[in-house]
Amino acid sequence: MTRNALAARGANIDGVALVAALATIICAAPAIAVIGLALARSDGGADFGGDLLANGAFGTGALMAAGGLGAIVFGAASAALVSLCRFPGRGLFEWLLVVPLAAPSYILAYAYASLTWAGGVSPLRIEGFWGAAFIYAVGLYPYVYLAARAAFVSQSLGALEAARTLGAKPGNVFWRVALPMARPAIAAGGALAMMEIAADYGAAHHFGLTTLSTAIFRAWYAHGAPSMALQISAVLLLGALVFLILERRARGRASFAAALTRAKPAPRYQLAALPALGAVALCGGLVASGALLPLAWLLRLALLHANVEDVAGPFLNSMLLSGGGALVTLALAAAIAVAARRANAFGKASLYAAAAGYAAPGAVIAMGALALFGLAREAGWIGGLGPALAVTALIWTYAARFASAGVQPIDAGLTRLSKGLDASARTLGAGPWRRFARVDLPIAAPSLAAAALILFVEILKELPATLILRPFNFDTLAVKAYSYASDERLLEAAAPALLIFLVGLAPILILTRGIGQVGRR
Amino acid sequence: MSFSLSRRAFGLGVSAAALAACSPGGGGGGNVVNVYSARHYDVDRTLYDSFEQATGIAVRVLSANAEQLLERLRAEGEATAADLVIAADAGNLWRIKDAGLLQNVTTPALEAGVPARLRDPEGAYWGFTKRARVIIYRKDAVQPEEVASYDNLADARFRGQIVMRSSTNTYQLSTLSSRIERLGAENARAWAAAVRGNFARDPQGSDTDQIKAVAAGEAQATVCNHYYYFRLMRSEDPADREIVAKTGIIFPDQAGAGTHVNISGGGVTTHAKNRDGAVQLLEYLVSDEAQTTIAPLNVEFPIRSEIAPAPDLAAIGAFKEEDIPLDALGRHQAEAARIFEEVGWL
Amino acid sequence: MSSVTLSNVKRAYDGAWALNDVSLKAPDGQVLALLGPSGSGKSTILRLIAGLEPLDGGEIRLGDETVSTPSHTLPAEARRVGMVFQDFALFPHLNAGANVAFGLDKLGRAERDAKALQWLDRVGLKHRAGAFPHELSGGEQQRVALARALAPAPRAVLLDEPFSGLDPVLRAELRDATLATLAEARTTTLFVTHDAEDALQVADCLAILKAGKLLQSGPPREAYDRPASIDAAAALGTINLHRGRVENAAVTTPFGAVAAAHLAQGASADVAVRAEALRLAPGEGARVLSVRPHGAHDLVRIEAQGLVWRALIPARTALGETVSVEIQTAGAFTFSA
Repeated sequence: MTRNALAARGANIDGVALVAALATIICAAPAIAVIGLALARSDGGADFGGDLLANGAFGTGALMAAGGLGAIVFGAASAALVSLCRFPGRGLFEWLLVVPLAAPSYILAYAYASLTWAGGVSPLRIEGFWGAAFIYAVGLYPYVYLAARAAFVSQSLGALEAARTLGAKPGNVFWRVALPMARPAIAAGGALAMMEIAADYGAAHHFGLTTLSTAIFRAWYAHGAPSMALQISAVLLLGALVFLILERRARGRASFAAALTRAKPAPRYQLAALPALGAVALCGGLVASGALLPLAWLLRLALLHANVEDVAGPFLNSMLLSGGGALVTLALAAAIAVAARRANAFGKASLYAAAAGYAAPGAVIAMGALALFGLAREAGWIGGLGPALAVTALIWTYAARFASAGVQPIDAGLTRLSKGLDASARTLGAGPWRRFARVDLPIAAPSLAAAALILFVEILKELPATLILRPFNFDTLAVKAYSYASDERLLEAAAPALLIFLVGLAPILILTRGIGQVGRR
Repeated sequence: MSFSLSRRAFGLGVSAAALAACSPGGGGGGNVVNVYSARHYDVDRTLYDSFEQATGIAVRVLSANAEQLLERLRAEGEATAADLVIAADAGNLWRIKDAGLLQNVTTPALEAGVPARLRDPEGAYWGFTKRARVIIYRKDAVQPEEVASYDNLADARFRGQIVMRSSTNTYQLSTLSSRIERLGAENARAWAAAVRGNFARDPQGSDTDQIKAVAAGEAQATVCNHYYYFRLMRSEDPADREIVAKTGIIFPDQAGAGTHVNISGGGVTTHAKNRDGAVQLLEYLVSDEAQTTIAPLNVEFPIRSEIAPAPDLAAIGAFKEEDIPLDALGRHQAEAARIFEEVGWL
Repeated sequence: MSSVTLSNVKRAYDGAWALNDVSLKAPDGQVLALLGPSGSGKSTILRLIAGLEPLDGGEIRLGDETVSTPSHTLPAEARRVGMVFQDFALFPHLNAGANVAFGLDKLGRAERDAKALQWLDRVGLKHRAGAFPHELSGGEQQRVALARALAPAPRAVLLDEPFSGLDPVLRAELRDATLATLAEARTTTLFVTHDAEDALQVADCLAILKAGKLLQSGPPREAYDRPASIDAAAALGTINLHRGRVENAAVTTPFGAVAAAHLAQGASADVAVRAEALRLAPGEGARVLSVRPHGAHDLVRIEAQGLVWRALIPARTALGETVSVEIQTAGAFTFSA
């Protein structure tokens, strides 16, 4: 085989590294195209629209901080309660708390706007900066919840008991040991939530906020200057990269992987009456705000105007596109996750490329993909953007955009593969691909399935890139919902929005059943 | 290598196959017209179906924001499948033309149907519906004379009583563009700044949200496209009826320069494969049949002056329209955006 | 500093007794070793003493204070009993110094840090105070864990297989170092091990457990010289068995006779002879099957009349194909069968 030939020649590159390089290119190409185009098409120098960039950067930063903090607090608190304590309804909340993942931020924004602004039914208004921060917090906390819960469940019993023998009361055991030990996981989940906030356009736009994302679209739409839009996009991309580097650096020193030895779960701590009430209120409140309330409102609106033919086609399209896109993205994410564990340059590069793709708004990535196909067309490689190529471009955009979301769960699964397993397989004569197929893959299979489900839901919710790149007569549920909502026909938008929610729920519930199995006691 | 690639190929294969199943037929040309449309009204589909029945030419539509369509057209270049571009704002059409993506077409039917003021002078794009930007005010707080003109919104009398949607929206940009055209940038800036100073809150939400805010008493006046208000008038939802009961509508500047008017229109793409089909569709859109269908269903004004609008629109009678070259709306949009940013009206 | 007393302690899991009526005492300031195979209940004893689990019968006292009864368990955090876990259980998010300082939060900041450094110094790791657990070697982690447990001046300290998982050289070093630290601090210590040598080297008292029952307890010398049963004997080294009859106050084995004065004439008896109690010399009597190196000894398998026994003799002793066997009385025991 080629690999052996290369190895015989003393080359250090194995198939995995090559695939990682390929993955890096796939993820980074649209982003690079964006930056390249921004530089190339700067008609009139680096025109960032004056204050637009500054205001946008400030807005994004502030929302990331406020929304991110909210998501972290909500996610960590609910995870701690559900993993470490016993209170009425705990088992139910364990999976219910993940449900808000099914609703994209823009749908929550439309629902709450309809619910609470003039003409709505609620005296409390969810609007402006704090309204958006609230929506981000209750919509995105599941990212933190999932990560924190995994951490709490797998914490070494010994460390917690050691703390008790050193005189720490149960509350102190949590604050001084359990929580700090879960900190890297919480930070990772929080970073994910913050990236979602940075990339969001629909919710920020509807609430009239200026962020980098809305600035990009403002430059694009209002100024009619795609070059300005590209330049602001480039800033957003670079900002995301810097954020990622900082986050990894902060995580680096306290490397907690080594400490997970005896992963025997700790017995849960029974809450007294008043704290138990608080726990139920918090968990219930989160699920209600993030999912049940908007869902109920949309349901009411949808029932007032149900049009099945209208959504049947988009429903089918959504399923096909999300399914196919999820598979492709899964392969990409798996390649990146495996390569990144080898901690060499290729692995790290692919990880950063994927993360950069995740931080960029879908529309920006789509523009990059569009530009690349345009270049290919100019070079005569392809004819035009027919349906097959449009779908290819779209799936490429999905892969570049969402690979990062798939990498996290796969990486968590690969953690269960010890070095010993890998080494044993090697002594038994298995090359890197046999090892991958016969050892890594079966053990990582559950996390692959989890990643696939997550990717399916993310692609289902995706809006801007789909708007730009989809072929003729091919609407998805997201496109349909957005078209109606942006035309101020929230009544008609409710049905497709509701379907996105419900279709997304199924994979999420499947995922969370898995959560319940881990640490069943 | 084999593992990763074969999976990807599989995924692509599935998607391509699925796609082939979804969109029948080959590329443009022959008896198909491909339309890139920034309008997303259900009534359009009815029109296209009628067109197909009448002519045997199928219409396939891709809808997205005008700006996104522009980028896509730009990227596709000669290989584009689009024959016709339809947009809901003249400013957008101007941009598409400015990018060299539209070709001039002029036919007797189009010239006869579309008033000169509501089409591109060179024939790159033609309007087929008309919409007016009106003032909505709260009846128990404002007299009609107090909001007779857009200028009134800048009065100190309305301090803290105005709500507006974001200036990113193309309708707002066109509104200011028309003012720049008529009265110059300085005047436009002064007006925008003064209106901004009267805001009850920062811009958020859509046109309908502004109307609801006025009805709820959060503000006394706003501007919006006329059809949003008329849709509320037609609605059977008691909440909507209540909104209409509390508010009034004015077509501003009847004593002055006239109400700001915009169009939905279309243009044939430079590299259209089915130019004739596209022109036929355009002509159909300004035909009697289409004009009398659009109007009642979508509460817009027909482009042809001799066609009567829907009864509820006709009830307001004729109104004075702003008389400026249509391409002015597009020419000044970038400047309008900058002015809005300078005065803090985002 | 307190003594630790267990009285008739019982503990059950899933309907089976993990500990069945165990009574023992670790005197104030002394080291008690709990010796036995896996599943004998020794780790359970530690967890009960630490207060991490409740008991189902009997009571546990620290000094004069009753801390565990079936109806009441004083929580672990209130007992001031330190514990060093098998996997050291260092807090991964804190460096060595902070780990050691963890139990000292009653003190002021400066005092706490000083004391932590002091204890790290005593285990020879003052220069590693800033290192995180994953940056420390196994031996270093064990020492930090010990320092951490001792720093709050606990009434007693519990060590759960503290030297397992370390290589023999490090093991011996660490054993001596730990013993020295504990002796200096004069802490009442209970430690659990399945290694007889650890127990014999370190303990002031020894308690031998099997399947939840206490077989024997007392000073190591006595446990070694006067085992209470075959199991007790087997716990402290390799033994050779033979069943026979008592005749003339002795039992005859193929390798020699063993005194059995305390047993009745004609009674059935089990003979247990420690491997190190067999002396081999060139001669007749038994056939040599194999000779394997065993550290400072050689392990010789000998056979006579179909019975195979093992002997531990000084290394590199020259032997022929046959040897004569002498059984030393100090290492030979008889029990009623």
